[in-house]
Amino acid sequence: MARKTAADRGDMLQGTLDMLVLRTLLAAPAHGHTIAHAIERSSEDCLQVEYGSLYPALHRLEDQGLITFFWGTSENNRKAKYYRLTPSGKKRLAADRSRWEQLVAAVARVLGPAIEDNS
Amino acid sequence: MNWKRFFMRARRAAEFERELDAHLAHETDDFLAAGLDPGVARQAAKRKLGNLGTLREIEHERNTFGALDGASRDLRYAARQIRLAPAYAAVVILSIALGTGANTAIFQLLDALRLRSLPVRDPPHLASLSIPKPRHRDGNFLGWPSEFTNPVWEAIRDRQQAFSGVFAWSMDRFNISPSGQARFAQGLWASGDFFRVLGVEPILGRAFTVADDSPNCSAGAVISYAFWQREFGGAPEAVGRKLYVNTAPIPVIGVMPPAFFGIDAGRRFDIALPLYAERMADGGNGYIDTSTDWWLGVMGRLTGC
Repeated sequence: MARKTAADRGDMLQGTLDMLVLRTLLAAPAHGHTIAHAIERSSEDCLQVEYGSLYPALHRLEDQGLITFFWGTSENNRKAKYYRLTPSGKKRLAADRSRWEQLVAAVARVLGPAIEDNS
Repeated sequence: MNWKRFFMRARRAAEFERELDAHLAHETDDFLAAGLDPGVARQAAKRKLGNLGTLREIEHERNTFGALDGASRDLRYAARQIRLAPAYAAVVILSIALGTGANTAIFQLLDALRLRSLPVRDPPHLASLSIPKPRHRDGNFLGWPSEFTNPVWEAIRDRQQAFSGVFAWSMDRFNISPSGQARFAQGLWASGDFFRVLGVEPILGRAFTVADDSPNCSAGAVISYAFWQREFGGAPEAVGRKLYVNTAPIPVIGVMPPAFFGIDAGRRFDIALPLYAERMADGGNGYIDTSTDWWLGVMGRLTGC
Protein backbone atom coordinates (compact mmCIF):
# COMPACT_ATOMS: atom_id res chain seq x y z
CA MET A 1 0.00 0.00 0.00
CA ALA A 2 2.89 2.30 -0.73
CA ARG A 3 0.96 4.57 -3.03
CA LYS A 4 1.56 8.28 -3.06
CA THR A 5 -1.11 10.12 -1.15
CA ALA A 6 -2.21 13.68 -1.77
CA ALA A 7 -0.30 14.70 1.33
CA ASP A 8 2.98 13.58 -0.22
CA ARG A 9 2.35 15.70 -3.28
CA GLY A 10 1.49 18.85 -1.27
CA ASP A 11 3.32 22.10 -1.84
CA MET A 12 4.33 22.32 1.76
CA LEU A 13 7.71 21.01 2.71
CA GLN A 14 7.46 17.31 3.46
CA GLY A 15 6.54 16.69 7.08
CA THR A 16 5.95 20.30 8.04
CA LEU A 17 2.15 20.02 7.81
CA ASP A 18 2.12 17.36 10.52
CA MET A 19 4.24 19.57 12.75
CA LEU A 20 2.01 22.62 12.14
CA VAL A 21 -1.11 20.61 12.92
CA LEU A 22 0.41 19.34 16.18
CA ARG A 23 1.43 22.87 17.12
CA THR A 24 -2.09 24.19 16.46
CA LEU A 25 -3.64 21.44 18.59
CA LEU A 26 -1.24 22.24 21.45
CA ALA A 27 -3.32 25.36 22.21
CA ALA A 28 -6.73 23.66 22.27
CA PRO A 29 -8.69 20.82 20.62
CA ALA A 30 -10.02 21.85 17.20
CA HIS A 31 -11.77 20.43 14.15
CA GLY A 32 -10.28 20.30 10.66
CA HIS A 33 -11.75 23.53 9.38
CA THR A 34 -10.49 25.51 12.37
CA ILE A 35 -7.04 23.93 12.18
CA ALA A 36 -6.65 25.06 8.56
CA HIS A 37 -7.80 28.58 9.38
CA ALA A 38 -5.56 28.78 12.45
CA ILE A 39 -2.50 27.80 10.44
CA GLU A 40 -3.31 30.29 7.71
CA ARG A 41 -4.03 33.07 10.22
CA SER A 42 -0.94 32.56 12.36
CA SER A 43 1.27 32.39 9.25
CA GLU A 44 -0.31 35.73 8.23
CA ASP A 45 -1.82 34.01 5.15
CA CYS A 46 1.64 33.03 3.91
CA LEU A 47 0.82 29.30 4.20
CA GLN A 48 -2.26 27.92 2.45
CA VAL A 49 -3.49 24.60 3.82
CA GLU A 50 -5.03 22.35 1.21
CA TYR A 51 -7.93 20.38 2.60
CA GLY A 52 -7.00 17.56 0.29
CA SER A 53 -3.80 17.21 2.33
CA LEU A 54 -5.13 18.21 5.72
CA TYR A 55 -7.64 15.40 6.27
CA PRO A 56 -5.30 12.58 5.24
CA ALA A 57 -2.67 14.19 7.51
CA LEU A 58 -5.08 14.26 10.44
CA HIS A 59 -5.96 10.62 9.91
CA ARG A 60 -2.32 9.67 9.62
CA LEU A 61 -1.53 11.39 12.92
CA GLU A 62 -4.51 9.63 14.46
CA ASP A 63 -3.20 6.27 13.21
CA GLN A 64 0.17 7.03 14.80
CA GLY A 65 -1.55 7.75 18.12
CA LEU A 66 -0.31 11.34 18.18
CA ILE A 67 -3.85 12.76 18.28
CA THR A 68 -7.29 11.43 19.26
CA PHE A 69 -10.72 12.69 18.31
CA PHE A 70 -14.15 13.31 19.81
CA TRP A 71 -17.40 14.62 18.38
CA GLY A 72 -18.23 18.07 19.73
CA THR A 73 -20.32 21.13 18.99
CA SER A 74 -18.57 23.93 17.14
CA GLU A 75 -18.76 27.68 17.59
CA ASN A 76 -21.29 27.69 14.70
CA ASN A 77 -23.44 25.32 16.76
CA ARG A 78 -22.71 22.44 14.40
CA LYS A 79 -21.46 18.89 15.08
CA ALA A 80 -17.78 18.58 14.25
CA LYS A 81 -14.95 16.06 14.69
CA TYR A 82 -12.53 17.58 17.18
CA TYR A 83 -8.92 16.48 17.42
CA ARG A 84 -6.90 16.56 20.62
CA LEU A 85 -3.14 16.16 21.19
CA THR A 86 -2.03 13.03 23.07
CA PRO A 87 1.06 12.90 25.36
CA SER A 88 3.05 11.13 22.63
CA GLY A 89 1.88 13.83 20.21
CA LYS A 90 3.35 16.44 22.55
CA LYS A 91 6.65 14.58 22.61
CA ARG A 92 6.65 14.32 18.82
CA LEU A 93 6.01 18.05 18.51
CA ALA A 94 8.99 18.85 20.74
CA ALA A 95 11.23 16.54 18.69
CA ASP A 96 9.97 17.94 15.39
CA ARG A 97 10.46 21.49 16.58
CA SER A 98 14.10 21.02 17.60
CA ARG A 99 14.86 19.20 14.34
CA TRP A 100 13.23 22.00 12.38
CA GLU A 101 15.23 24.65 14.24
CA GLN A 102 18.46 22.79 13.54
CA LEU A 103 17.54 22.56 9.86
CA VAL A 104 16.71 26.27 9.59
CA ALA A 105 19.93 27.24 11.39
CA ALA A 106 21.99 24.95 9.17
CA VAL A 107 20.48 26.31 5.95
CA ALA A 108 20.99 29.86 7.22
CA ARG A 109 24.67 29.17 7.95
CA VAL A 110 25.15 27.83 4.40
CA LEU A 111 23.46 30.82 2.85
CA GLY A 112 25.43 33.28 4.96
CA PRO A 113 24.71 37.03 5.00
CA ALA A 114 22.95 38.46 1.94
CA ILE A 115 25.55 39.37 -0.71
CA GLU A 116 25.34 42.79 -2.33
CA ASP A 117 25.41 42.56 -6.10
CA ASN A 118 27.74 45.36 -7.23
CA SER A 119 28.31 44.42 -10.85
CA MET B 1 -3.11 -1.11 8.98
CA ASN B 2 -4.69 -3.77 11.13
CA TRP B 3 -7.49 -6.33 11.00
CA LYS B 4 -9.62 -4.59 13.60
CA ARG B 5 -9.82 -1.52 11.43
CA PHE B 6 -10.40 -3.66 8.33
CA PHE B 7 -13.59 -5.05 9.85
CA MET B 8 -14.72 -1.59 10.98
CA ARG B 9 -14.13 0.05 7.62
CA ALA B 10 -17.83 0.69 6.88
CA ARG B 11 -18.24 2.57 10.17
CA ARG B 12 -15.08 4.54 9.57
CA ALA B 13 -16.16 5.49 6.05
CA ALA B 14 -19.45 6.81 7.47
CA GLU B 15 -17.52 8.75 10.09
CA PHE B 16 -15.37 10.33 7.40
CA GLU B 17 -18.50 11.37 5.48
CA ARG B 18 -19.79 13.06 8.63
CA GLU B 19 -16.48 14.85 9.03
CA LEU B 20 -16.62 16.06 5.44
CA ASP B 21 -20.22 17.22 5.90
CA ALA B 22 -19.23 19.18 9.00
CA HIS B 23 -16.34 20.71 7.11
CA LEU B 24 -18.55 21.79 4.20
CA ALA B 25 -21.09 23.26 6.62
CA HIS B 26 -18.43 25.38 8.31
CA GLU B 27 -16.95 26.47 5.00
CA THR B 28 -20.42 27.39 3.69
CA ASP B 29 -20.98 29.42 6.87
CA ASP B 30 -17.77 31.32 6.09
CA PHE B 31 -18.86 32.08 2.53
CA LEU B 32 -22.33 33.12 3.73
CA ALA B 33 -20.72 35.45 6.22
CA ALA B 34 -18.68 36.88 3.34
CA GLY B 35 -21.98 37.70 1.63
CA LEU B 36 -22.46 34.91 -0.95
CA ASP B 37 -25.89 33.48 -1.84
CA PRO B 38 -26.66 30.18 -0.02
CA GLY B 39 -26.54 28.01 -3.18
CA VAL B 40 -23.38 29.66 -4.46
CA ALA B 41 -21.77 29.44 -1.03
CA ARG B 42 -22.24 25.65 -0.85
CA GLN B 43 -20.76 25.24 -4.34
CA ALA B 44 -17.79 27.43 -3.45
CA ALA B 45 -17.18 25.38 -0.29
CA LYS B 46 -17.16 22.16 -2.33
CA ARG B 47 -14.79 23.65 -4.89
CA LYS B 48 -12.40 24.74 -2.18
CA LEU B 49 -12.36 21.26 -0.62
CA GLY B 50 -11.05 19.85 -3.90
CA ASN B 51 -11.55 16.41 -5.37
CA LEU B 52 -13.82 14.48 -3.03
CA GLY B 53 -13.24 11.24 -4.91
CA THR B 54 -9.50 11.38 -4.23
CA LEU B 55 -10.08 12.14 -0.56
CA ARG B 56 -12.47 9.20 -0.22
CA GLU B 57 -10.00 6.95 -2.00
CA ILE B 58 -7.20 7.87 0.39
CA GLU B 59 -9.54 7.17 3.30
CA HIS B 60 -10.54 3.83 1.77
CA GLU B 61 -6.93 2.79 1.29
CA ARG B 62 -6.25 3.60 4.91
CA ASN B 63 -8.93 1.17 6.04
CA THR B 64 -8.25 -1.76 3.78
CA PHE B 65 -5.52 -4.11 2.63
CA GLY B 66 -4.64 -2.83 -0.81
CA ALA B 67 -3.42 -6.13 -2.24
CA LEU B 68 -6.35 -8.05 -0.76
CA ASP B 69 -8.83 -5.51 -2.07
CA GLY B 70 -7.35 -5.68 -5.56
CA ALA B 71 -7.24 -9.48 -5.50
CA SER B 72 -10.89 -9.78 -4.49
CA ARG B 73 -11.88 -7.38 -7.28
CA ASP B 74 -9.84 -9.39 -9.78
CA LEU B 75 -11.46 -12.61 -8.60
CA ARG B 76 -14.96 -11.20 -8.97
CA TYR B 77 -14.10 -9.93 -12.44
CA ALA B 78 -12.72 -13.35 -13.42
CA ALA B 79 -15.86 -15.08 -12.13
CA ARG B 80 -18.07 -12.72 -14.19
CA GLN B 81 -16.04 -13.38 -17.33
CA ILE B 82 -16.24 -17.15 -16.81
CA ARG B 83 -20.01 -16.93 -16.45
CA LEU B 84 -20.26 -14.89 -19.65
CA ALA B 85 -18.50 -17.52 -21.76
CA PRO B 86 -18.77 -20.90 -19.98
CA ALA B 87 -17.81 -23.04 -22.97
CA TYR B 88 -14.70 -21.03 -23.71
CA ALA B 89 -13.80 -20.96 -20.01
CA ALA B 90 -14.22 -24.74 -19.78
CA VAL B 91 -11.85 -25.26 -22.71
CA VAL B 92 -9.28 -22.93 -21.18
CA ILE B 93 -9.51 -24.51 -17.73
CA LEU B 94 -9.28 -27.99 -19.22
CA SER B 95 -6.21 -27.08 -21.29
CA ILE B 96 -4.47 -25.62 -18.27
CA ALA B 97 -5.39 -28.66 -16.18
CA LEU B 98 -4.12 -31.08 -18.82
CA GLY B 99 -0.95 -29.06 -19.33
CA THR B 100 -0.23 -28.96 -15.63
CA GLY B 101 -0.97 -32.66 -15.29
CA ALA B 102 1.29 -33.60 -18.19
CA ASN B 103 4.11 -31.49 -16.83
CA THR B 104 3.78 -33.04 -13.40
CA ALA B 105 3.73 -36.55 -14.83
CA ILE B 106 6.81 -35.95 -16.96
CA PHE B 107 8.64 -34.37 -14.06
CA GLN B 108 7.82 -37.33 -11.81
CA LEU B 109 9.18 -39.71 -14.43
CA LEU B 110 12.32 -37.65 -14.89
CA ASP B 111 12.75 -37.32 -11.15
CA ALA B 112 12.51 -41.07 -10.58
CA LEU B 113 14.72 -42.07 -13.51
CA ARG B 114 17.33 -39.34 -13.78
CA LEU B 115 17.42 -36.94 -10.84
CA ARG B 116 17.40 -39.36 -7.95
CA SER B 117 20.46 -41.47 -7.40
CA LEU B 118 20.31 -45.08 -6.34
CA PRO B 119 20.11 -45.73 -2.60
CA VAL B 120 23.50 -47.44 -2.52
CA ARG B 121 27.09 -46.57 -1.68
CA ASP B 122 28.81 -44.35 -4.29
CA PRO B 123 26.29 -44.76 -7.15
CA PRO B 124 28.31 -42.76 -9.76
CA HIS B 125 30.87 -45.56 -10.02
CA LEU B 126 28.34 -48.22 -10.85
CA ALA B 127 28.18 -49.18 -14.51
CA SER B 128 25.63 -51.25 -16.34
CA LEU B 129 26.75 -53.76 -18.98
CA SER B 130 25.01 -54.36 -22.27
CA ILE B 131 25.67 -56.15 -25.54
CA PRO B 132 26.45 -53.72 -28.38
CA LYS B 133 24.42 -55.55 -31.04
CA PRO B 134 21.59 -57.13 -29.07
CA ARG B 135 19.69 -58.21 -32.18
CA HIS B 136 22.20 -60.99 -32.85
CA ARG B 137 20.91 -62.98 -29.89
CA ASP B 138 18.62 -65.99 -30.17
CA GLY B 139 16.29 -67.40 -27.58
CA ASN B 140 13.69 -66.23 -25.09
CA PHE B 141 13.79 -62.78 -23.59
CA LEU B 142 12.26 -62.80 -20.17
CA GLY B 143 11.46 -60.05 -17.70
CA TRP B 144 13.67 -57.04 -17.30
CA PRO B 145 16.51 -56.45 -17.89
CA SER B 146 16.95 -59.26 -20.42
CA GLU B 147 20.52 -58.57 -21.48
CA PHE B 148 22.39 -61.77 -20.60
CA THR B 149 21.94 -65.50 -20.07
CA ASN B 150 23.26 -67.14 -16.93
CA PRO B 151 26.25 -68.81 -18.69
CA VAL B 152 27.23 -65.48 -20.27
CA TRP B 153 26.95 -63.77 -16.87
CA GLU B 154 29.14 -66.43 -15.24
CA ALA B 155 31.73 -66.04 -17.97
CA ILE B 156 31.77 -62.27 -17.40
CA ARG B 157 32.00 -62.74 -13.65
CA ASP B 158 34.98 -65.09 -13.93
CA ARG B 159 36.99 -63.16 -16.56
CA GLN B 160 36.23 -59.46 -16.18
CA GLN B 161 39.02 -57.08 -15.12
CA ALA B 162 37.33 -53.68 -15.31
CA PHE B 163 35.39 -53.92 -12.09
CA SER B 164 36.21 -54.39 -8.45
CA GLY B 165 32.97 -56.31 -8.20
CA VAL B 166 30.11 -57.37 -10.49
CA PHE B 167 26.63 -58.71 -9.96
CA ALA B 168 23.69 -59.91 -12.02
CA TRP B 169 20.09 -59.19 -11.30
CA SER B 170 16.60 -59.52 -12.73
CA MET B 171 13.15 -58.30 -11.79
CA ASP B 172 10.43 -60.95 -11.62
CA ARG B 173 7.03 -61.62 -10.16
CA PHE B 174 6.87 -64.11 -7.29
CA ASN B 175 3.80 -66.01 -6.28
CA ILE B 176 3.98 -66.01 -2.49
CA SER B 177 0.88 -68.08 -1.85
CA PRO B 178 1.67 -71.62 -0.55
CA SER B 179 -1.28 -73.10 -2.44
CA GLY B 180 -4.55 -72.14 -3.99
CA GLN B 181 -5.13 -68.66 -5.29
CA ALA B 182 -1.95 -66.89 -6.38
CA ARG B 183 -0.71 -63.85 -4.52
CA PHE B 184 2.07 -61.85 -6.13
CA ALA B 185 5.04 -59.91 -4.83
CA GLN B 186 7.73 -57.98 -6.68
CA GLY B 187 10.69 -60.32 -6.92
CA LEU B 188 14.37 -59.64 -7.46
CA TRP B 189 16.85 -62.28 -8.55
CA ALA B 190 20.35 -61.29 -7.56
CA SER B 191 23.75 -62.91 -7.75
CA GLY B 192 25.61 -63.58 -4.52
CA ASP B 193 27.73 -60.43 -4.65
CA PHE B 194 24.75 -58.12 -5.18
CA PHE B 195 24.57 -56.58 -1.70
CA ARG B 196 28.33 -56.53 -1.14
CA VAL B 197 29.05 -54.68 -4.41
CA LEU B 198 26.23 -52.20 -3.83
CA GLY B 199 27.38 -51.67 -0.27
CA VAL B 200 24.00 -52.07 1.37
CA GLU B 201 23.79 -53.53 4.86
CA PRO B 202 20.69 -55.25 6.23
CA ILE B 203 19.04 -53.78 9.32
CA LEU B 204 18.06 -57.23 10.50
CA GLY B 205 19.61 -60.67 9.93
CA ARG B 206 22.11 -60.93 7.07
CA ALA B 207 22.27 -60.47 3.33
CA PHE B 208 23.07 -63.44 1.13
CA THR B 209 26.61 -63.75 -0.24
CA VAL B 210 28.44 -65.61 -2.96
CA ALA B 211 28.38 -68.72 -0.74
CA ASP B 212 24.57 -68.68 -0.77
CA ASP B 213 24.44 -68.44 -4.55
CA SER B 214 25.52 -71.91 -5.60
CA PRO B 215 23.81 -74.88 -7.25
CA ASN B 216 23.30 -76.90 -4.08
CA CYS B 217 22.75 -74.34 -1.37
CA SER B 218 19.58 -73.89 0.62
CA ALA B 219 18.52 -70.44 -0.42
CA GLY B 220 17.45 -67.65 1.87
CA ALA B 221 15.37 -64.59 1.03
CA VAL B 222 16.27 -60.98 1.77
CA ILE B 223 13.15 -58.82 2.03
CA SER B 224 12.59 -55.10 1.69
CA TYR B 225 11.64 -52.91 4.62
CA ALA B 226 8.19 -52.21 3.12
CA PHE B 227 7.50 -55.93 2.62
CA TRP B 228 8.71 -56.66 6.16
CA GLN B 229 6.24 -54.10 7.53
CA ARG B 230 3.43 -55.34 5.29
CA GLU B 231 3.79 -59.08 5.70
CA PHE B 232 5.34 -59.43 9.15
CA GLY B 233 4.20 -56.20 10.85
CA GLY B 234 7.83 -55.27 11.36
CA ALA B 235 8.35 -58.15 13.82
CA PRO B 236 12.01 -59.09 14.50
CA GLU B 237 10.97 -62.77 14.48
CA ALA B 238 10.44 -62.45 10.72
CA VAL B 239 14.02 -63.64 10.24
CA GLY B 240 13.85 -67.43 10.12
CA ARG B 241 10.17 -67.55 9.13
CA LYS B 242 9.31 -69.25 5.86
CA LEU B 243 8.09 -67.57 2.72
CA TYR B 244 6.58 -69.44 -0.18
CA VAL B 245 8.03 -68.40 -3.51
CA ASN B 246 6.33 -70.17 -6.41
CA THR B 247 5.32 -72.83 -3.83
CA ALA B 248 8.90 -73.48 -2.65
CA PRO B 249 9.37 -72.76 1.07
CA ILE B 250 12.28 -70.35 1.59
CA PRO B 251 13.38 -68.87 4.94
CA VAL B 252 13.79 -65.13 5.42
CA ILE B 253 17.40 -64.37 6.32
CA GLY B 254 17.54 -60.57 6.35
CA VAL B 255 15.70 -57.26 6.07
CA MET B 256 16.97 -54.26 4.05
CA PRO B 257 16.88 -50.65 5.32
CA PRO B 258 13.87 -48.46 4.36
CA ALA B 259 15.86 -46.36 1.85
CA PHE B 260 16.86 -49.35 -0.27
CA PHE B 261 14.07 -49.94 -2.79
CA GLY B 262 16.21 -51.91 -5.23
CA ILE B 263 18.29 -50.70 -8.16
CA ASP B 264 15.50 -50.36 -10.67
CA ALA B 265 14.35 -46.73 -10.36
CA GLY B 266 10.58 -46.55 -10.25
CA ARG B 267 10.13 -50.22 -9.35
CA ARG B 268 10.45 -51.61 -5.84
CA PHE B 269 11.37 -55.11 -4.83
CA ASP B 270 9.69 -57.10 -2.08
CA ILE B 271 11.78 -60.27 -2.00
CA ALA B 272 15.32 -60.82 -3.23
CA LEU B 273 16.58 -64.34 -3.92
CA PRO B 274 19.97 -65.60 -5.09
CA LEU B 275 20.08 -66.61 -8.77
CA TYR B 276 20.50 -70.32 -7.99
CA ALA B 277 17.34 -70.35 -5.92
CA GLU B 278 15.60 -69.86 -9.23
CA ARG B 279 16.07 -73.55 -9.98
CA MET B 280 14.30 -74.52 -6.80
CA ALA B 281 11.57 -71.92 -6.92
CA ASP B 282 10.73 -72.72 -10.50
CA GLY B 283 10.54 -76.44 -9.86
CA GLY B 284 13.85 -77.34 -11.47
CA ASN B 285 13.14 -76.16 -14.99
CA GLY B 286 14.33 -72.57 -14.63
CA TYR B 287 16.42 -70.36 -16.81
CA ILE B 288 19.62 -70.78 -14.86
CA ASP B 289 20.94 -73.72 -16.87
CA THR B 290 20.04 -72.64 -20.38
CA SER B 291 22.00 -70.49 -22.78
CA THR B 292 18.93 -69.36 -24.66
CA ASP B 293 17.01 -67.63 -21.88
CA TRP B 294 18.07 -63.98 -21.66
CA TRP B 295 16.88 -62.74 -18.32
CA LEU B 296 19.75 -61.04 -16.46
CA GLY B 297 21.22 -57.59 -16.23
CA VAL B 298 24.83 -57.10 -15.14
CA MET B 299 26.26 -54.17 -13.22
CA GLY B 300 29.69 -53.56 -11.78
CA ARG B 301 31.63 -51.18 -9.64
CA LEU B 302 34.46 -49.62 -11.62
CA THR B 303 37.99 -50.11 -10.27
CA GLY B 304 40.52 -47.35 -9.83
CA CYS B 305 37.92 -44.89 -8.60
